[in-house]
Parts: sequence; structure tokens; C-alpha cells
Amino acid sequence: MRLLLFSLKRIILLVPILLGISVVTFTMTHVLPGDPLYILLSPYAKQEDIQAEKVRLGLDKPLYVQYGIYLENLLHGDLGYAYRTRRPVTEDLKQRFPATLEVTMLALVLATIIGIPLGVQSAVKKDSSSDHFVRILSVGGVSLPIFLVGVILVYFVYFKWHLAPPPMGRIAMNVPPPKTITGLYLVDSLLTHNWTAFRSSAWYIMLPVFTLSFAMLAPIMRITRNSMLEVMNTNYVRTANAFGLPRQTVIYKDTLRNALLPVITSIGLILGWSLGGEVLVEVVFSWPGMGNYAVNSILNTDFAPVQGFVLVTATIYVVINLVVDLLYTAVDPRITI
Amino acid sequence: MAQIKTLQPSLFHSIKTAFKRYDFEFYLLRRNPLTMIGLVIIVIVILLGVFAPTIAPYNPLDVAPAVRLQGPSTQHWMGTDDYGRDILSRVLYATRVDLSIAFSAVTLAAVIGVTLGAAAGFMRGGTDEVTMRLLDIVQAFPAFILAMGLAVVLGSGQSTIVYVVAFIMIPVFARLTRSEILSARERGYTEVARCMGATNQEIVFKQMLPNCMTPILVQYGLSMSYAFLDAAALSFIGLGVHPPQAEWGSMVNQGVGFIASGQWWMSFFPGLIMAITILGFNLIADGFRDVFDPKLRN
Amino acid sequence: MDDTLLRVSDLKIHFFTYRGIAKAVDGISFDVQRGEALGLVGESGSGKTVTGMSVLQIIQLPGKIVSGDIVFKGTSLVTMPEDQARSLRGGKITMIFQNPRTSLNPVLTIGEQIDRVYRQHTGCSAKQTQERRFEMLEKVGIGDSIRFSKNYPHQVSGGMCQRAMIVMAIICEPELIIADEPTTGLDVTIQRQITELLGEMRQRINATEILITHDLGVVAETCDRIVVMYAGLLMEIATTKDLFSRPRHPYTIGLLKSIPRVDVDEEPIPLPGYVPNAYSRPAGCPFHPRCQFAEEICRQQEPALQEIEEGHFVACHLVEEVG
Repeated sequence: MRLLLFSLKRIILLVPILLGISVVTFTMTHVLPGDPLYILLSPYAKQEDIQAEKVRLGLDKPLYVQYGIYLENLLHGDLGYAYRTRRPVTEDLKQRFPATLEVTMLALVLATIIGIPLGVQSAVKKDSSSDHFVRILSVGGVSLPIFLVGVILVYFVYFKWHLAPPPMGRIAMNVPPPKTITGLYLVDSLLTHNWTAFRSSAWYIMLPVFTLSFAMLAPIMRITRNSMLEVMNTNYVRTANAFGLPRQTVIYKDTLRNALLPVITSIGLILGWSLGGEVLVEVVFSWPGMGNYAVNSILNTDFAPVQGFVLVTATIYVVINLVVDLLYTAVDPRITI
Repeated sequence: MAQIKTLQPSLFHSIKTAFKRYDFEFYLLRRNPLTMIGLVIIVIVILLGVFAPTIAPYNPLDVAPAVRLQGPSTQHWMGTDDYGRDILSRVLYATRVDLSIAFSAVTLAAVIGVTLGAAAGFMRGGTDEVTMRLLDIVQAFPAFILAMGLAVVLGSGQSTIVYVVAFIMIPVFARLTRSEILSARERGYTEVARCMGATNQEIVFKQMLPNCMTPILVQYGLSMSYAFLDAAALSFIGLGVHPPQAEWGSMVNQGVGFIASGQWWMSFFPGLIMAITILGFNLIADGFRDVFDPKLRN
Repeated sequence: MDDTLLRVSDLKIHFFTYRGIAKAVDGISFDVQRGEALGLVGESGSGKTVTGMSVLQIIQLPGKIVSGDIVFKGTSLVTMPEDQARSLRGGKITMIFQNPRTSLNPVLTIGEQIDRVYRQHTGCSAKQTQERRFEMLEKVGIGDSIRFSKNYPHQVSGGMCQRAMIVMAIICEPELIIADEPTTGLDVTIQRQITELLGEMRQRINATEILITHDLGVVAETCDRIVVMYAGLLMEIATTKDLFSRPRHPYTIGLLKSIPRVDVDEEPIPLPGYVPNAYSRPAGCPFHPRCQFAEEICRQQEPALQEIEEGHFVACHLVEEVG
């Protein structure tokens, strides 16, 4: 019950942050040097359209009025119009959201399932060969740019070894996508027992997920390892050992339980950082997600979608951080609500 | 009471004082092989970048359609791209570009961030609150995506990348400095210094900042890696340095289309140099952290 | 009759760090008789905590027992295999640490933490364990043991945490309890309570105790014999009565002079100088730089423990002249 009240409190605190985000995106288009018209409209727009847009955005009015209009539009879900696709930005983003979600979620799950145990192992067997392996993998994961990893994977796994499909979409061209329930191809094909679609989507999503996962793996492993090492040196772990509790118990109930707390906090940050990485993955694999959409818009000098994309991802990030915060509060008894 | 001898207190002074205190730690750093490898890598890369015009066998912008899309050979150690330009020369010049972008961006971010953080931590009250809220808002955005949005607005190009990358790194330096200053305040020697007649400026630059220098320097090293990654990523998606100018990310981008037909060298070599450079900075930053972070010491 | 529960012989514990070798304990030998309360006294850095931890074999890298032995009821603890040692810890030999708040797992309830120790060593059912826990909590003066068991360590005071640790330490009726500065960091009034409680509990289960502390006042009241440590070596061993009335080692004498006392009408005189760093102990007698009686031989040769009276051992070349 108190957790609920706390959640409400935190949700209300979101509002100023969200407002702040809207101010920043507003500033980016309307205040910073650069003609907002140029930014928000395609250079091929016709004179009448430019005039109409000018009025619609209230560009002849004072700034705070412009912001008011902007905010009002936002609250109605209006993120502007994309000239490239001839559709409202909101609709474009909505359509592409599941593709992004699918890769990001799978990558996170994979990275956690592999990363945390490896991090634990690395700390418990410090300075052993497995520890060195994990540390090398960590450093490699942090040093290799995501887009490079994607490119390398495409070259070897697809081109040389023929173990992956060409980086051209979510599903093979001759396989119709599954019926849309969630928009997540894997989930939808499972729900509709469409095994062909499932196999094909899994086949196509494999490399993008590995790429993003590899990038997330490094920080997860390293944070788990460092956290474990720190907790292993605490007084209470010493006590647990001093009272003769079995090694496994001490590792899991004393060390890991406490070491995972900072890892949970970091997951939020890692996810935020992967939202950026996801953009790069989508570009490398021509994955039809929001990130690719934004980048293609940039290349076509269609900028309204980009601002919409920035706003939406920031909002998602803020919500993710809230969820992580709440999760942490629920798990750590020391946090008083 | 003796007069306190004053040098004009400055950031530079803080850094010098910090270095003098850590003789033993520097000795430790020298003994760590990985840190030394990192240092060697960085030195080599910097030299390559600085002397690129001298070393490069060809002009990086010279188009030579006759030799386009050739793999590595004795005349072109890293092959040629689809315009016939020598990849090796381009990689060398790209190193220059990326190094200067990263150094400028991180230095800018550090100077602004440390100043903001010190001001917030030292003066507290309204300054602190406002600064923190502003930082909160900037950090509410996923960093790279904010950089994308800003770069779109400011127009692509090298200076935009520097400003944009610097901007997204400011909050980290600010928060770090602020928390260090806050814990320095708690240790109470500001009161002592004040009793002895030190000015605010002196307190901040001569007493407090030298102690914070270590985490700030560690962060500087770490941020260099991020700067390379972000700058290259921005160029990779077309927001950065314009072709035909050579830059790691945009070179990888140019080569992507040819991977599927087996022409790997256009993306591979810039990627390789980039990865090695970032690795060098990571090793150094890790080494620094292992030595200076009290929590991880045995 | 020899009723020695624990015998420490020429124990040396060194820490191998990048700064060099820290000789935390450099050759100490003493016995602990069954049923007695032995005080292990010394300043910070004397090696007393390390000694206590070595009995339980919980010294971690970079520390190592480089030589010597610790024999518990005839069995060597130093060469004992790990799983055997683990079954001793918390069962027959237990330890109480200082800073009880940080010595308890912050994410488990106090009840859980006590229970699992008991179940590990006795294998009793959950219900039996719970009953035993309530019984013990009441004995240490916890009023509402049900509520207390559901609390987390950060929710209760330091004194209460220490009571919980005491329960953990005696719930399996150990033969030897090692208490490492159990009252340091607690409020002064609570300190007294805990000290008394510990003594009371110990006597109830007839356990032997090693009390590690720097507080001479506490050992005066609770211990039968006292061992004085300095810089990793033993300076003096005597019964409490003998130590306080007839101290023979310059260090002990200096220590006693430096604390305020009600039975002696003198101003306290602090000991000059500092405790040496474990990396660079002075040659010969470790105390010689601070000793007013020091002579050439003190600078060169490490003094051995000599029995100058029955049960009274001193490590000093000049013990005849001193005191």
C-alpha cells in the first residue's frame, strides 16, 4: 500500500521533468539558431504549405504563445507531420515502435541472462582465467562501437558463413508477417501458432539482438563484477562466513542479494544508453524501427519526425527510470517510503 | 599570523597540486601492464594523428577512379574506396579529425561541467537547486538521442559535433564535481581555511578541487572513449563531418554498403583504428580507477 | 590438569600487498584455558583482531598464516580442511564483531539471520528454530521478540543489533566465543549493558571467551587473564589482578599510567610516540622507540616471553630493572 502511494508521488514528480523535456525539444526547434520552418518543413514544401504551417505553429506570435501551442499539440498527441511519409509523425512512430521494442527487450533479456552470472563468476573467482576472459570481453564490449560490431557480424555471419539472413528487415520477403496483435512478430506468431513466421522472424532478429546485446553485456558484467567485489569485502559477508554458512548460501543470499541492488539501478542507465545504440543497430540492419525512421528522416531533411522521436524516446526513458526506481524501492528494505 | 602566500588560484593550480600528492599511485600505475599498454596505444595514435600529413602516402581527398574498390595491396596498404581514394591516408587524417573532436569536446565539457558543479556544490541554495534541475532535464534524455536532435538543429559539421558531444557530457562532470565538493565541505576544512583568511576562490581552487582532481581526471579518460563513440556514431548516421572529409564513423558508413559484396576493407580499417584508440583510453581509465578508487582497493 | 581449550604457537600472519609485507602478527604464543575469560589487549594496529580472526580461519587474501599453529582441543585449526572448519564456525567457535549494524546483512530480517545459523549447525525444523530464537532473544533482554525478528538491521539501534549478534553467537552453545571489540561504537550506557550481558550469557553456557579490546577498563572487570599485544608481538601475559597491581612491561606500565584511574591519585600521562606501521616495525623490541628504559640490546634483539612469576610472562630484556 505504501508502495502505491510512493509510486503516485513519484509519478506526479514526473510532470516537471516531462515539461522540461518538452521545453528542451521546443527550444531545439523554435529558439535555437536556424529557421524553424526550415527545420520542420521539407525544402520542397510549397508556398501555401509554408504559410499554413507558419500560422499553425504561431510563428508570428511571441515565444511563450508558441510554446503553449506546442504543448497543446503535444497533449493531443500531435507531433507534427512527416513530409517523407505523408503521415502524422505520431502514427509513423506508433507503427514502428514494436520493431524497436522487440529488439531492445530481447537484447536486454539476453544480456542480463548472460551478463549477471558471468559477472558473479568473475568476482567470485577473481584473477582466474574466467575472470580475465570476462574482463577482456567487458573491455572489448565497451571499446567496440556498436555500429562496428553490427558491421562485423554482418560480414562474417551473413556474408562469409551464410548463417544469417541479409540485413534487410524483420522477416523474409516471401513470408507474410503474422497477424498483428502486439506488433512484436515473435509474440504474435507464437500466439497465432504461425510457425513459419516465427522461424523467419527469429532468424532475422537474431543478429540485431546479438549486436545490441553485446553492447549491453559489457556494462552489465562489469557492474555486477564490481558490485560483487565491493560486497564481498563487507562486514556482513565476513559475518556470514564466520558463522559457518555454506559457501553457496553466502554467495547468493549475502553477496549477490546485496550486489544486485546497484545493478538494478544501473539497468535504467544502461537501457537509456541502449536506446541510442538501438538507433545504430537499426541503421546497420535496415531494421524498420523508430530509430531508423528518425535517421532516414534526417537524410531526407525531414526534421519534424526527428524532434518527435527525441521527445518520445525521452519520455520512454523517463518512464523506464521510474519503473527501475520503484523496483529498487520495493527490493531494498533500507529505502523508507 | 603569517600571511597566506597566494598564487593566482586557478584550475591549473589545482591540477598541479593534485599531481604532487600522488607519487605512489603513479608508481603503481606504471607497474600495471594493461595501463601501460593503454598509454602506449594512445601515444602512438596521437603521433599518427599529429604527423598524418607527413606520413600519409597519398592525399586523402585525391580521387582516382582507375583504382577504385581495390583490396589491400602493396601500393595501398588498406585498399581504396569507391572513389579510388587511399584508405590508409584517409584513416590517418580521420585520426586527426577524431582526436581533435574528442579532445575539444571533453575539455569543453570538463571545464564547463566542473565549474557548474563546483559552483553548485560550494554555493548551495538557489544556485544548487537550479543547476540540479537543469542537469536533471538534460539527463532525462538518452544522451545519444539528444545529441542527434541537437545536431540536426545546429546543422552537421565538425564544430557542431564538438558542441553537441560536449553538451551531453557536461552533466556527468558537473555532478561528479558537485558531490566531491559537497563531501569536501563536510570534512570541515573550509571553515579552517576561511578562518585563516582565504578567499572563496582560494578555498575552491587550492583546497577543494585538488582533492577532487582524481575522479575528475578518471572521468576525463572515460569520457574520451564516449566522445569517440558518440562523434563517430553521429557521423555514421550522417550528422557529422561531411564527406569527402575523412572521419572514422563516416568512413565506416561509406563502407557498409559494400560489405554485402565482400569488400570489407573500407569499413574495417577505420573501425579497427577507432576500436584500438578507444581501447587505449579505456585501459588507462580503468587503470586509474583501480588505483585511485578506494572502494576497490584490497 | 591441563584443561587447555586453545593453544596458539608461534603464530605469524602476514599481509602481502603491493606496498610490501605487513607483518600483522609476527610470532605469538599463548593458551586459553577452558572456562576462562581471556582479554586480548592492544591498541589499533597491534594485531589483536587479526589474531581473533585467525582462530576462525577467516583471514582473507592478501593475508596469510605463514607459520605457527592454532590448536583447538587437540586438533590443528590451521591445517584443518575448509569444510571441517566451516562446521566449527558458528557452532563450536563463534565470533562477535564490532560495528554490529554493518556486520548484519541489510536485506535479511534479524530473525532470518539468527535462524539460519541455528539451522545450519543443528538441522532443527523451522518451528523448533523459531522457539529457540524467541527463547534466546528473551534471555538477552529483547522484549517484543516477534516484532524484533521481523525487523531489518537498519531499523534497530546498535545496541539491539549487538544483542542479536550475541544471540547468533551463543545459540548453538559454543565452547569458545571470540568477542572483537563488541562495545566499541556503542553508546556508553549501552556498552555497560552489553558487557554485562555477554558475561552473563557466557557463564550460563559455560563457554570460554577471548575478549579483544583496547579498553583496559572492560578487561579489568570481566577477564580472568590478560594478554597484552603490541605491533604483532606479545608484551605481557598475566592474571588481571597481577597485571593491574604489578605490571612489569614498560608498555603495560605506560598504558596503565595513561588512563584515568580512581584507585591511583595521579594525573594520566599519555605514552609518547605512535604505534609502528605493520610494514616497518622497528628491529629488536618493537616498543623500544617509545620506551624510557630502552638500551642497546633492546634495539637489536627481540625479547622472548619469560615467566617471571607463576603465570606472569613478560617480554622485556630489562624486566629485572623495570617496575
